[in-house]
Amino acid sequence: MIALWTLGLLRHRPMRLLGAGFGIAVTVALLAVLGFFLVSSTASMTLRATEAVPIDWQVEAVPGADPALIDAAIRKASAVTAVQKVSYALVDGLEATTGTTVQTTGPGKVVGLTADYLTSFPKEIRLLSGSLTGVLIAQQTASNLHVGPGDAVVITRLGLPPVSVTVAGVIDMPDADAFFQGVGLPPQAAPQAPPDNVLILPMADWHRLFDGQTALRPDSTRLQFHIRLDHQGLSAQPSEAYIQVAAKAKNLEVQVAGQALVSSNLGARLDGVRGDALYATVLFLFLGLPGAVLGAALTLAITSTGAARRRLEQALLRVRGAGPSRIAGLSAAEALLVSVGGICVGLLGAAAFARLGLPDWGGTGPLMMTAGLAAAAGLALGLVAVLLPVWRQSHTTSVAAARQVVGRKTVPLWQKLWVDAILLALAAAFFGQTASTGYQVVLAPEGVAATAVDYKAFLAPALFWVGSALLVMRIVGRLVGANGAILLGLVRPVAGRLAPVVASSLAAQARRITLGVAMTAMAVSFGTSTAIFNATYQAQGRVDALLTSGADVTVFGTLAAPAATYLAKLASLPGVLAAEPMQHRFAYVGSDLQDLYGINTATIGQATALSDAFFSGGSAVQMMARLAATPDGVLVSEETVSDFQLTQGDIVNLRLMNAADHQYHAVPFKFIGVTREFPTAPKDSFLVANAAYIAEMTGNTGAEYVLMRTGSDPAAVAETVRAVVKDTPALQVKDITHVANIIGSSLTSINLTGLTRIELAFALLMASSAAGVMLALGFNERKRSFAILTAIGAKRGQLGAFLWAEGVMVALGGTVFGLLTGVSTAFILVKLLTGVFDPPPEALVMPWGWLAGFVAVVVGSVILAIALIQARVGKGAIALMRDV
Amino acid sequence: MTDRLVQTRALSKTYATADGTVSVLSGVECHIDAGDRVALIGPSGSGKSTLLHILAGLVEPSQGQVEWPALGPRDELMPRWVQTVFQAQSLFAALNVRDNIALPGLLAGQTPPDGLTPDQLLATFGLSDLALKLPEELSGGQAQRVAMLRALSVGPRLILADEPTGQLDSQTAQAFLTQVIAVADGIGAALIVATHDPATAARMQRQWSIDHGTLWADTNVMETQT
Repeated sequence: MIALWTLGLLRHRPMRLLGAGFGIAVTVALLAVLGFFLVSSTASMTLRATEAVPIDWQVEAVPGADPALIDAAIRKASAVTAVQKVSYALVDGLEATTGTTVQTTGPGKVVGLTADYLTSFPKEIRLLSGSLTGVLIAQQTASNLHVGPGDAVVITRLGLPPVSVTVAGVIDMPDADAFFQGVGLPPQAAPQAPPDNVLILPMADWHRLFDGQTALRPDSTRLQFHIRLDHQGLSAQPSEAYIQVAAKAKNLEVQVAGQALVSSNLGARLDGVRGDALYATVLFLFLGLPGAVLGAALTLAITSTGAARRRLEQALLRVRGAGPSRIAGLSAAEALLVSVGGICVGLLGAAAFARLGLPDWGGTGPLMMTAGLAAAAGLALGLVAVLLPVWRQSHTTSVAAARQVVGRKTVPLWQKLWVDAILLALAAAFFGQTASTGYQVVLAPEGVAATAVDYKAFLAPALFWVGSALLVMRIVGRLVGANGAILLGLVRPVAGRLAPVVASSLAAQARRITLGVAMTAMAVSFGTSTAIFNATYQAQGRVDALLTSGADVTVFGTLAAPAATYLAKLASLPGVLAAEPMQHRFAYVGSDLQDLYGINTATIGQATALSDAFFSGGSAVQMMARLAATPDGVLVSEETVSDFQLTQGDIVNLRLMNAADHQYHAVPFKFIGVTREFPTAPKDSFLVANAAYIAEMTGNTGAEYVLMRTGSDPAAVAETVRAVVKDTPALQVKDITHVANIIGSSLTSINLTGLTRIELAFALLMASSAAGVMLALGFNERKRSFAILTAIGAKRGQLGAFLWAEGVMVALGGTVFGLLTGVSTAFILVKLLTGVFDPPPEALVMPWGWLAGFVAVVVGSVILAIALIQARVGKGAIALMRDV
Repeated sequence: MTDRLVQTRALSKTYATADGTVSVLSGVECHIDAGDRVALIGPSGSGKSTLLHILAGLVEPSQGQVEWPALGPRDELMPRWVQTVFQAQSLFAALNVRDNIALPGLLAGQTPPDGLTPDQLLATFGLSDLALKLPEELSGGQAQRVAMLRALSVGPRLILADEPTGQLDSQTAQAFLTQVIAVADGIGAALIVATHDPATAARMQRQWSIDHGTLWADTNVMETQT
């Protein structure tokens, strides 16, 4: 019997099976792909985080400790791939003579490195000029002393006579913050700024020059072990990896207690990434789950399009004596058929999609588990979609009622109880509550193993989504069911003189049409909110990358090797739309050395984008105007304003190096505004002033940086620029594409592009399914009605009036309500996920292309559905009428 | 203007099925003139419905010719000149009874003739209480009668009815048929009724008998009786 029934379904009800199977396939595919995404992105986050850390652990021996014991303890605590000893010595200062002038610096550090240190930790030092063999000097120190390779520098040791060394190379230390960090400081301690003056000696020379100082002043020298851990066996999940690394570090601390202090850079990095990983999960939940829910709802809705015929079939079975269990058995066979088919297609689609979109997924095990869970969800969905209505019908419906196709209008319970309004009010309340906490959705306190997500924050968008869906159903249900002037007005353009009767026909089917509009609206809403969130995120990612790189392409130089010497050549390169010089000097604010940027306010905007979020107390345009109107004006970072208790209008004396004597001299500036961020500037302390004033007061018109806006691929232009400046090794070229790829401090390290690509592809699929497939299946189930119209003389155009009226309702209602709720949802998501953005967006970015695409897909699928059904009905009205 | 509404010559109809070709009608020669009353009688599966559908222009014959000299080309027959009452439930499910009856007139773009508005027809046939009901709320007999009213509403010249009283008891059927004939007389429509019921067939002027696709008699009952 079951085999006979199943065969009958395959032969005579293929559309019904295909429709339900399609819905299940979409849901399974989306769940599986999202699961793949989560596994893949967290694995790649961990990988990136561990690769980005130059020195995993720094272990500092206390004076008098036995280095051999510490070395042994390190190797016992964890498998390592490199352990290098590094010696540090504090010195009173450095001195150099240029011609008749003598330059001196304040206190500094002299470091001793072994010959193979750079083999183990190549990212620590970058050669700018000269050779890596011998004495190396940091570029800022070299600039302060006005020395280069071959020049002599005198080291003023503590308690010992000064000693002279000859510089072999000038270097940059990209990781100076960690290299010179205070080891063993508590996590909440303020970070220690790296020394302004640094000299690096071969280890043998260091011992020759500083063993005596160690003997005299043991507190002035330090021995550190720089360690790279063996990353094999480290968990792919950031939280677990953090716990693993932290446990090993604690084990080492216990072993070397009283002998050494431990600083785990890798642990700190993973600590930060844990928060990002949680945000990845949050993004998955915020952006992904609505899609899966929508897929499930779509399956139920698609199944419901065949409800009338299914009811009739079951009623016939009951009349012929089939009991509830027999009917349930037959329906279970149908459910299994569509579920298994849908699951297979869904998983195959997911695998294909993931192969294209996620090339680096994290191992087979988690993927198989994800696929298994998605398949289980698909099976459950198939059973619920097919069996639940059967069960309800067999227990609550009479045979006569089961034969109803249209059904009398009744007000659903949720409408009587105003559930939609209640849900929207609750959404507003929860949104307000989350807003009051400053949108703190993810809590991953530094140094604390436990992490938390404020899952209450999910309630606002979830309630809003469901509430707005119900509100759309209420509005559309009222509008269509009332069969009033509005419906008539909407229908008349496509129905002409048939408008009244077409409107009546729609009103009688208000429930079905409302469901179609609501499903289309939710699909469009889902796609719209995802597209807007993605566009806003990408735009902010670009702002973030622009902040770091400065412009599409930036040439970073030094005081000794200013990039602006190439300005004319760079400006004339193909693909360069604008090239703008920018000074990058150093200025003492009190005793604090800060970055100072000298700009031309009139032209800076040609080469880089200045966001309003960069400034406090005015827009970017206003702040540039203010700076232009005040030649000696200076914009000061928030941190400096707070540290030095500055008030606008204050005269701030900054000490700048003068070109004539290479000495720092006080230059008065007027504090005119606050800047939060600036292209190429660090996140904490910096200053922005007029380049002309800086040049005048320092006697140096050079500009260290050149910012470029490009009209073509920045990476390609950067390659050309590198070729131009290759003769000056001190010049470094960065492009925005490269920078965007390596920023690891925020969620840009998550493959959000992959997630949104998945989301948008499925959103398009579901928008077309909700509109076109539901209409087509609905029409297919009612093809007899359309055959009747043909049989009593309706011409093709008149038949079209009924079809088009329904199509217009679904397409118009679906897109209008979908776009409205989508924009609102995007606003809520962007606000709730403020933590994802750096800096926070000023406004939503509307991806007009995508939105137009959604509308086009909905309209296109409706047109296709109507064309198909018109062709089908026109071919054999009488045959269709016989098909009950 | 000719009174010959339909004329067939050597009409045949075959259908292709999984078991081969099935002949439904073979060599049918017949005609219908204005005001004719014809009973088409024959056993189930004899080809009655197919013949009605061909005469209505809904189905094309496989061989032979069918013409509508007084009504015009096939594409212009419905809904204005020819209306069909189907054996199966044929009301538009999403419209109430009143709108269903009004539908052919709306499709034809004409104002209902006097006495043939939905409400007038419902009143004439004593079915006014059904006006606002949906088709699914009607019994089989009620749905059949409403389908007939829908056919009459446009004032056609030819009505082809397939078992229009099949789901009515004989008393109701005869009363209903009397009213249908009266309205058809009023508008001058020819009425062709396919039926198994001898009483219904006896109300028609002519009887066509059909068996295995062959129309083998064309008898004017009224003439015979007189």
